[in-house]
Amino acid sequence: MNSFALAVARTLHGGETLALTGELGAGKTAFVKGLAKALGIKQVVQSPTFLLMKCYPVGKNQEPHYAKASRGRPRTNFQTLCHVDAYRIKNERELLAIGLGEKIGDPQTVTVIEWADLVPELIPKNAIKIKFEHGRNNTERIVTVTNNQ
Amino acid sequence: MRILGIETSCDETAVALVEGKNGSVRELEGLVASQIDIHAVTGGVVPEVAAREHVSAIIPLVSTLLGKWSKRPKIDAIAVTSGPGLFSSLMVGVETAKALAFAWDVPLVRVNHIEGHLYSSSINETKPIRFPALALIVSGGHTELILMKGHGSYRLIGRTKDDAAGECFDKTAQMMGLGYPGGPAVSKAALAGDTHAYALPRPMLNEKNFDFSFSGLKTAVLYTIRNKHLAVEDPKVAFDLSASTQAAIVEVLVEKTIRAAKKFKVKTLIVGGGVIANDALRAALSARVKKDLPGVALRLPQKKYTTDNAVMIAAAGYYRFLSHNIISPSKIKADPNWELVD
Repeated sequence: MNSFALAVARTLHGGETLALTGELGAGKTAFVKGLAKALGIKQVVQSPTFLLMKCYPVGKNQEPHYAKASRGRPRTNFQTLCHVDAYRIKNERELLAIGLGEKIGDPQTVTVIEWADLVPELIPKNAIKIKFEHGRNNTERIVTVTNNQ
Repeated sequence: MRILGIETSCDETAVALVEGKNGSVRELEGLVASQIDIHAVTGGVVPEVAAREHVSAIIPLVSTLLGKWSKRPKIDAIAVTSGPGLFSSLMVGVETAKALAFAWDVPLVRVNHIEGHLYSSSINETKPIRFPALALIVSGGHTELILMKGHGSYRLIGRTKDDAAGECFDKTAQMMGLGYPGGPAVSKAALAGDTHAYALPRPMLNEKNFDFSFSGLKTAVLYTIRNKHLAVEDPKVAFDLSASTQAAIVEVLVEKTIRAAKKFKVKTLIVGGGVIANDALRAALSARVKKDLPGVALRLPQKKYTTDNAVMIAAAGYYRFLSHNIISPSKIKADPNWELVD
């Protein structure tokens, strides 16, 4: 999962929304942990199911792991990774009320939304959709990425 | 002294009034917006309060609280949760507390939400805490072990690396079709179940650190259902799986807590947070403390103080006030990532 997350992190430049779907245990949060690691975020990424949204600074001083290997590509220009979890949400308005509207599309922020299929009206058309599924055995996962850009 | 407590860190809007005297705190009154018919109280002016509609609820709630006495009580200090939590939610409590502190010209104290849970067992308790103390705070959103050298002196010893214990209860309950909130549902189903019916992992149990991990247990329950083709609608399956899951969660929490208590040679074990309302956890902790930590006092909060409330915030505020930990209204800020450290 970590190498997949690193690959996704390399493509991000700010303003993107990653819409994650998949049932319990399919790997959504594990992916976000990998993404945070790739972006050089030092804090432990916990599940935001109860908190709903937690944002982490991707600071200038935090050298993303991929920057050195980027072969001339600029290092990350955005400041924040916002990790959102819609599992407990009954109404999309709840996420707007806590400020998600300002985060989505903000060029300084990359927003990742778990259980994105529960809040379809909040997901922008150009969101990168990532679907996680359990594989045949316990350690296998199937990940499908759909990008409409 | 009388302290007004305000809590708006996430879902609940809560206010409370406590009396602090000679180092102890007792509740005078506490209100939580979701638990009262605020519609009736405000005569229909305020629409039905949804979770996190703190802006609508906070002023009517404070008015209702203070209106419970024929003569409005004198407030000596205001304590408000300024973090951690959701920024937009915290802001409502913080700005309200600021405004009231200015208007009434009383000192303001900021309280950490986890610290509030830590003091939930001090409410209506006259025995002082003997230090050093170890606190296990476990809820839907938090699972932490905190070493407390004295009032206001905290060190994080361990925490969950992924899911909180309460979240594990909720999600496994959902897998079993047991409804929400999951903790009480699993707890009730577990009463009729066999704790050994299904073999489930005890994540990180044998690691030398004091961290926790519950996402692996959640996945293990899912795979147990899938690979054994369990029919969760069958009550026996639900009872047994609930009992086995609860046993795994309780074992990990208790074992690591007792181990930490021994390592740091604490005199008191404090517990708090919504999961502490779980009877199996309470019983296991009591039994293990009696058996393995002789002389160590166990402070269990009353169940009504385990979920988010403002009484615990006011209580924590009292002890902060005693330590002169006051903040100027112009300096207080909502801090969604506030870590409970010194």
